[in-house]
Amino acid sequence: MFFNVNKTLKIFSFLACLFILQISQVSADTNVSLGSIEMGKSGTIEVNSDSLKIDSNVGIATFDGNVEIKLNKIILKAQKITVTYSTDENSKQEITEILAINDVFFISNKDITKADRALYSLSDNTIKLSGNILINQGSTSFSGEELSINLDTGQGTMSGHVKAILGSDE
Amino acid sequence: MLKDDKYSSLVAIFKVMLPSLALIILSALFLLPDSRTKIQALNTIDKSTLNIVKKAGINKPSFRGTLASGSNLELYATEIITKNNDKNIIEINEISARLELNKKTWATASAKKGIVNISEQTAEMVGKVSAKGSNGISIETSDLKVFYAKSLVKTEGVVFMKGPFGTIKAGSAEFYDMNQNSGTGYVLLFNKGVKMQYNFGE
Repeated sequence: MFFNVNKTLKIFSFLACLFILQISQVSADTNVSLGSIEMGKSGTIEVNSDSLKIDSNVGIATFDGNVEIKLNKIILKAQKITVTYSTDENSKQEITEILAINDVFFISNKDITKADRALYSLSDNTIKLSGNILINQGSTSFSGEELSINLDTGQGTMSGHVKAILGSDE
Repeated sequence: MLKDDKYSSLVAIFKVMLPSLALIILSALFLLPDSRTKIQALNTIDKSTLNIVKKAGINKPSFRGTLASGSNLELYATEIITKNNDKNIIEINEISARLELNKKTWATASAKKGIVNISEQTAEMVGKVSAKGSNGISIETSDLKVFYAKSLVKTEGVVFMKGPFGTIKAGSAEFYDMNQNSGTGYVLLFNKGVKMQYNFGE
């Protein structure tokens, strides 16, 4: 079997950062700061759901029932996704936050991230996952109760019974 | 270099997926005019439209004029048939209409058949119903019914929308005002399975 040293080292580095920082934090939170990856400049986004309701009175658009959003090979699944946007007539129509609840999955190739709830805040470009978080990346997995990531900086914090299982991808 | 590691790939997934979701939602919101006052056209044109149809009679299957709201309306049909003596129910064959809210905002619609019920304040379009707006959005469906008293527009069949944002296909759709007293706000509801597609960067 081919042993991918480079990949394992990266995982180990990540885990080392994760655990060292975990120890150094009084709050037992986990901080990691990593680079970012550019998103594609073109593509097709496909959204499927049982229903879509746009309510201008409260500024909420709700995808309900078996929601699935696909962008190239990346898939977001949830039972319900709520999008909140500004309703102030004098301001530009802008989305403020996106909330996915119940059986939330982010899937990209073999990488699967699961949580009960995911809140994406556009004002500070952060995503907060909560409830039974499970990140499966090949033979490596992480679990915890809360995960917060700043998408500008790539810095994230995982907390609540954080557990990591290090495996080697053959 | 940590660019390719698993953590940053997770961040990348979020960075790609979430702004994309925001993008498609924002695009879908542009289905409807940004200013709420335009939406209220449904309320203001109701009675004058129905009166126009009532006055049109069987000998005048076309109309061009200004409504009480100030909007310009053009109606054409091959045939208008009254279903009872008091002209409460009117059938209009091969109907096409153009509504102009102002010089830049307009909408056209056509259908095989239109049925207007004056006493119930409803107007129904049946068979190859299509509508197009100045915002580049077109709608196709098999049926569309307007309930003027409730400020409700409803389709029972599959509805297909196409516009600069992409496409939306749904089993049925409803559009209605939430608060008729305040005259502000609306709800757009797609049901029975929704499929949205948005192409970006092309």
